[in-house]
Amino acid sequence: MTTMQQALAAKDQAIKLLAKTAGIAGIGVTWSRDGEPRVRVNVDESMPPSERRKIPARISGVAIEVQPVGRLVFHSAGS
Amino acid sequence: MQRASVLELKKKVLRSLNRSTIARVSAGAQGLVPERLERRLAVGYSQVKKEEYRLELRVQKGRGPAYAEAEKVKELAKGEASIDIVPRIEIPSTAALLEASGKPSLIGQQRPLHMGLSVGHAAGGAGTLGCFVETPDGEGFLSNQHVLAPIEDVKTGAHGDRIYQPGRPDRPRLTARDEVARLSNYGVVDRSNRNAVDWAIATLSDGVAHEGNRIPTGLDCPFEGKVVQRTGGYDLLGLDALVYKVGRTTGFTIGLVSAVALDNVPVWTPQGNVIFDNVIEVRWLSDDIPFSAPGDSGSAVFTEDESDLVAIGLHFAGGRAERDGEEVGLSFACSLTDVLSDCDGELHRS
Repeated sequence: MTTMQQALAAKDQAIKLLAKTAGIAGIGVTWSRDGEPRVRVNVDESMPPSERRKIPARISGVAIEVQPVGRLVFHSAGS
Repeated sequence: MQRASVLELKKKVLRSLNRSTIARVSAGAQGLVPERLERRLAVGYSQVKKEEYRLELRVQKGRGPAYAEAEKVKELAKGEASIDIVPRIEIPSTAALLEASGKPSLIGQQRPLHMGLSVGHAAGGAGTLGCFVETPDGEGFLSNQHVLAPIEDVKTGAHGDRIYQPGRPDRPRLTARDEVARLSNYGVVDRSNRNAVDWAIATLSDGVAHEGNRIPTGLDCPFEGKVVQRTGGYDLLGLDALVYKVGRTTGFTIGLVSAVALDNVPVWTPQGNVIFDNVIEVRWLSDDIPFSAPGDSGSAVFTEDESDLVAIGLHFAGGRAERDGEEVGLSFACSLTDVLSDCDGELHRS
């Protein structure tokens, strides 16, 4: 079972590993369905699948989950 | 039918629609939306009861190929589909959206002040009064920098600027009677560097009363009247932990935590992306039940811990993502612990 500390350490490694990868839209920590911490990599929805496949499935034994995201915007109104 | 079955059926119908549309449009066509109304068919699903789903089919005319296709699909779904005729769907103008948006009780002038109200700077749009804080400058309230010290031109937001309740566009002509506070401090959101937080504090003007961090009444909120007593960190959160907020546009809403400590998150602005670190990602309950919308920026995001209400974040942005083949809405909050550390503030306790 991965601990939160292990997942956070793996997150830091993922940040370094993917520093030069275009289309990364966030790297953090999430949980599997059974509550085990894992690394979350958000990618721009326009990132080609061939690029997405370069993201490893695990890093230091911690699972990586990839989620495509669209454009994020500030939530003020009428500015 | 079950959710998995309705999703599978929806995919099947969409695949079939795409095939027939691609076959029909010419090589030079720019889009795949059929040009003739009677050919347009939209497919979705709805939850009719707990764990019981139904396919939703929308056509623009009660005859023609799309209607015939919808009837076939309904048969395929053994009747567990509903066909509605929607003659015209319009995207409302920005002006109409602004007019329509906002909870009436949160966009009007309200005294004493409370959490969730519309606030803003004369040079920007409306956001939300997040929570009340005590800082070295005195008693004030928190919202985002892009609300109280508009980000388009950081020079716009200057120490001592007037802050209004309600903010624009809820009050097209701001007057002195709408002024409630002065901008006293903010963290500069920087395009050339990474940002952990998006915050600004307005110090209350003399004589402006407030209700403290009490959840306002009249918003169908189970916590109304309860006070947000303390702040907490990510250790309180797990997958699908419930979080709440009260915001100027969507009022009281519930969301599910889907990730924490997210770094490298790009938020789009007309001037380019701004990168945020250490943010909380919140998934909406559904498309029809968003956790946040424009105007909710600055809302305090809170959770429940041992029957206490605990503030964990300050909402600032939103967007969409794809999960398991489905689009989901997402909201993002920066860590309130980081904000309070930056501004040397404490949550107001009352």
